[in-house]
Amino acid sequence: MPDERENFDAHAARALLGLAATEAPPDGVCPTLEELSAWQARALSEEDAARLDAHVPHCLRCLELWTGMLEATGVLEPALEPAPTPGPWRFLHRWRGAAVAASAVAVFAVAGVLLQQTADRPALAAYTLQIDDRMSQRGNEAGDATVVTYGAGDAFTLTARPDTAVDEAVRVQLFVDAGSGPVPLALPPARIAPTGAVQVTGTVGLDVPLPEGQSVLYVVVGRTDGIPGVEDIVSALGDQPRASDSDWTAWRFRLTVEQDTQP
Amino acid sequence: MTTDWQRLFFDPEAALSERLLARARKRFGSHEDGEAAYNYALQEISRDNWQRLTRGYAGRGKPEAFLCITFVNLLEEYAVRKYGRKRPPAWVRRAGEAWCRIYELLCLKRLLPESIVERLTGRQHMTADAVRSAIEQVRSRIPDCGQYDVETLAEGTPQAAPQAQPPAALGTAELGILLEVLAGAVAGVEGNERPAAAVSRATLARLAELRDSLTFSAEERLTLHLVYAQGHSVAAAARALSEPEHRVRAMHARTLARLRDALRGLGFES
Repeated sequence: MPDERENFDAHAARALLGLAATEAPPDGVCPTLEELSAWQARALSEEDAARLDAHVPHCLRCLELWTGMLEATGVLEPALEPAPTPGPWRFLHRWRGAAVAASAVAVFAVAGVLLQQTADRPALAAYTLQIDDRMSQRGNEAGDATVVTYGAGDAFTLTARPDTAVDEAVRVQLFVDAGSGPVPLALPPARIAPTGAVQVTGTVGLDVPLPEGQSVLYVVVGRTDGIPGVEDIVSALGDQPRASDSDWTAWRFRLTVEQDTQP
Repeated sequence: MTTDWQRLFFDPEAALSERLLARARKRFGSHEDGEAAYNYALQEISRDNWQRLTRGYAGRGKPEAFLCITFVNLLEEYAVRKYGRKRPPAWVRRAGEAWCRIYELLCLKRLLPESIVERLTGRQHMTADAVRSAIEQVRSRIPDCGQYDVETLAEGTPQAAPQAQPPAALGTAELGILLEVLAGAVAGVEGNERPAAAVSRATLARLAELRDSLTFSAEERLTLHLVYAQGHSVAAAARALSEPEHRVRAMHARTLARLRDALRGLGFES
């Protein structure tokens, strides 16, 4: 096995040296992102494909984007980082074995932590709320003066991002109070990113049924089993724009939906 | 036909969001930075009802590939915003991902050497000696490593697409440095014994000869890059090139044989 490793080291050094020695300035300007993705799919014209064949293999920037795309689409698995050349690469196999063992230990450790967390889990990370470019709120800095204005047909994107990744199930709920008490809003399903970021998108008046005129909007993000009832959220917020518990964060702000004046 | 970008991004079967998070963590070498970059890219790509994708995609290629490459470009945009436009010298980038990571941690994030050793040996399958040796190389070859003000470099407006002008290729001096670094592995000579300025005329002449005697096709370059600069297998390179594995294996073997002969012919190896 060491021989195989040393062979790989020698091949690597030769290959990197060969690449460097034969490097030429990339031909032409960098392609657009769509051209790069279409080049991979062989969906370019012959002429365009030849242009990218001459450019991409010599352009480190394009190579980074290309390999990033291949990893993200699952064509390539993220590679083990090669050790710097030259160096004692022959130890790499041993490290790989150690890494597998460490992973196994980590799996058991995580399982143990999860069991413990059900009894005494840490506070959920703090969230920042962003509603399109109309409102961004992390703490109480925006105050009760924040008024978010929409018109019928406007795109609506609500994003709540955690300060640090949340690797457990979370959900988002919205309530609106147009004067007769808070009622839940039926919205398109929220999307939850692996970091715990939550996003809801839709169109006002279409699949985001915000009431016309002035109202108060409540947003709460939290553990799926940790969000309290709306009365408790409203009570916790009081007149504040933001409140939080170890399981959730909630926001309250004024909303104005302008009447559709189109005939 | 319009694409529902949001549905595509969050589709659990496609798992694009998970893979993009893995890419971000790998790119930035730490969970904290990777997650911040991921959140930035998600916010930007979904802005105005995913308009960036709707505007940029004319139907060529697969939409998921376009979504991913746009996201990866936004991760790079985040890096520019946070760490400035300064990129590793071309010779560092040509030496592969491990060198780029060490450059970034040492010269941009300005971590202490032992903290870099701890970080890379803990997660990146490198030995401590290899990392220490590379740190010394970077320090000796890049005297201003870590000595600029990141904040002043981070002001530029990031570009939504790859830059109009491609990055410059290796200069002669840079090529000489890389040769010295790599020659140690080819010929068993430590590459860090001579300072950068001492790249000899003989070395440069041999490099010129090597350049004249070697040519690679696009497929050969891409395979070498994927396998040796990025650490993927030959089978993975075949998938990336959409070619049968046996064909890429044969091409790879021929390329290595040609390289070995060329280097021997120039006296790099006995």
